[in-house]
Amino acid sequence: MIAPTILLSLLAQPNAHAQKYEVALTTSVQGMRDPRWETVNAAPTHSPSGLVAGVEVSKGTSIIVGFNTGRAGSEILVPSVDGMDEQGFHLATTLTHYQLGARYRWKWKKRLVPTTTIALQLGHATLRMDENIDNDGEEVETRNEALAMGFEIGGGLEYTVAYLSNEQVRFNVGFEAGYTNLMKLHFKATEHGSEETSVGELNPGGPFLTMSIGTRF
Amino acid sequence: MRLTILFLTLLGACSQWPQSQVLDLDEALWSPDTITLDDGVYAILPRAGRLVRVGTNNTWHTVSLDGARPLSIRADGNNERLMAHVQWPVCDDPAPNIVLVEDCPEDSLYWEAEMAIIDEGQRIAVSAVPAHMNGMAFAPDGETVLLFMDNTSESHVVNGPIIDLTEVMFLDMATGDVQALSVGFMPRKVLFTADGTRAVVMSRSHVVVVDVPSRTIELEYPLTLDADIEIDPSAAVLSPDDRYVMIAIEGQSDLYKLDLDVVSIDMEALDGIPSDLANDPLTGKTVITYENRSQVDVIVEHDFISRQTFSLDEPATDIVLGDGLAVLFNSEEVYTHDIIKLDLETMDVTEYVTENPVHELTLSPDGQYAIATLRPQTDEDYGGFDGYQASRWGLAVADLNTNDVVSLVLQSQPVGVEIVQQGETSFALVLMEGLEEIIQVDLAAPGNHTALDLPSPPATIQASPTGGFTIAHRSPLGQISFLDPSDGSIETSGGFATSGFFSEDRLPRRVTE
Repeated sequence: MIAPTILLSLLAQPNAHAQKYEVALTTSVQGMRDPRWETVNAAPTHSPSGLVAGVEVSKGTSIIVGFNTGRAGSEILVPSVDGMDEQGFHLATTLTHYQLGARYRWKWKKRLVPTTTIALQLGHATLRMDENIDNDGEEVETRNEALAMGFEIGGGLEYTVAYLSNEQVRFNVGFEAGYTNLMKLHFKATEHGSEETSVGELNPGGPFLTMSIGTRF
Repeated sequence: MRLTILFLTLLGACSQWPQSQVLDLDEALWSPDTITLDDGVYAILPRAGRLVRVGTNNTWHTVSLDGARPLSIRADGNNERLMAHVQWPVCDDPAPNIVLVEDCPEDSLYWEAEMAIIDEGQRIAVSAVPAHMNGMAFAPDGETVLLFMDNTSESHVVNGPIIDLTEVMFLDMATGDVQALSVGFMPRKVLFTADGTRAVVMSRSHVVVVDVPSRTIELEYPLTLDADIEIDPSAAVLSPDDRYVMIAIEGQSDLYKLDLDVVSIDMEALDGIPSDLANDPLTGKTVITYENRSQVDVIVEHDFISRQTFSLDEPATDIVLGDGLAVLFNSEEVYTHDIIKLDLETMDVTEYVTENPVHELTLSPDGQYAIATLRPQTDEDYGGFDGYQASRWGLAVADLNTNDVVSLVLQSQPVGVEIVQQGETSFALVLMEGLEEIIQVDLAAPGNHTALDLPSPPATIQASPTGGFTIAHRSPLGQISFLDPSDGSIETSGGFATSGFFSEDRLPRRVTE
């Protein structure tokens, strides 16, 4: 979905002083309100990076598609049942948000453009656990996946750093703050038997702050 | 500097195993003290508060306990069903916004306990058995269980506002029905007659005979008439005809003989303080060993106690019975090395001398071999072959048909020994701490052994009712191997301890306002 959008944007003829297409690299910090996330990451945050592309469909309104993805993990130490020694394993998640939504750009200053974004999200998470490399023998590895729908709403500001091609191309930096929420990510392991076995759930919603570098043309 | 930080950040994001922290969890994910039944291996997940059944081919599932957490598990008398002591949190505050255990005010939170009976991975019955009723005696048919508090057991848990220390409970395995009965202070030993109609329950200074079908006390025997004297039974056996109960008393050299037909108590003065009693149904003889006396007695006539006494070189404290023979050893002393075979038919005594003291002993199914793990006699290797062996764990194999005994040195402490009999050949399967192999010792030629590779160091081994063996490994995420001794094949299932890792600690069975 992203590649055709970029290709279309590169082939299209720009309107005079109007930018129809946009592409941006993003990096975010998202707060995690689920206390169980503290088992995954030292801080209650998730830091993904990604890409957003869009096309203007009416004056000021663009349809955007994009994704962001990030990893987090911990080394977990557990006592043996007799309490005599300690054993460890690695735990890591890869959390990816795919988004499809709309972004409205408000008219304000020439170089400063406020934005409002609303998007549907599809979240995909992979949860991996692997016994510590310090353990002898064949390590146990597990991998569980989860999908959940959600939404994102945010507002931000774009600042145009430079113009090119008679102001038909803008190079922007921007930030956006808002709230994202996915339904619970339910990690199932049905492949391990006829009856469903659940590792549990994570609720990865929370406020976010996104920085972006991109262009509109 | 900034470039370095940026580089490290990017590296962390790209790493397959980002490590933001080292986190210590309070509880283990699973307990390797598993129970193997014919339908799979059951394991407790303490952190998640769940019970899982693990099978071959990397399959497992959690057993539904209606929100309760397992405290301890054991197999029933027939090794067919699982009995699980469980408890669940109750929050007295009915506010609907209280969903998780942590939401409940501390003074409104308490725990209820019950016993779940599980078959084929499903809870089939539930009984109102408190968690402290952890001692169990099974009637011969396995369908009736007498529960009592065993405060010497590791699984001993006490909760609840009131505990009646005089109480035992009958549990019907088919229905889960329970019935409490007051029998005397701290009941600690229970014997069932062969037909299962009577149960002899021994408490402090008091013995009762219970009629099992009616769950009523049929006979009572005070062991003393002086309330200031405490008489605690330490060992007991029924005579082969179920008429007499013989009871050894802690710290006393008297043997109490209770006649269950003509209600009476006789006392037999023994030569020392008995450490163990065992009755061989084949010969109808009762064996008595002593704590600190190099002697073993055999009661050959129970109506009027007639004993035969045999002198030994060293005291033997423990008895293992085979068909028509008793094997004796000392599990208490550090400098005893004898395994004694007492043939209860011919009354011949054979002495086998091991290199180190015996730790545990088992007999092969055909009764031909006694296999003993040997514990180190000293902490330090004082040199020479003797010092080398004396400071290490070992395995002894005594051929009970001959006078031969072989003592082997083990690399580390054994975590389990199981015996396999295949036709005429017997093997001991030995697992050792930290060793990723299972050693198969040919009991006919103990020097000949083979090794099978294990995926990781073992923690426990158990015989399966289906003829195989299950090995629980020292693995934080859960790992169990299934060994087929007929071809030496090993299948391993792993990762089951992650079940419920991210589960919410919800209040179960909750009625809100």
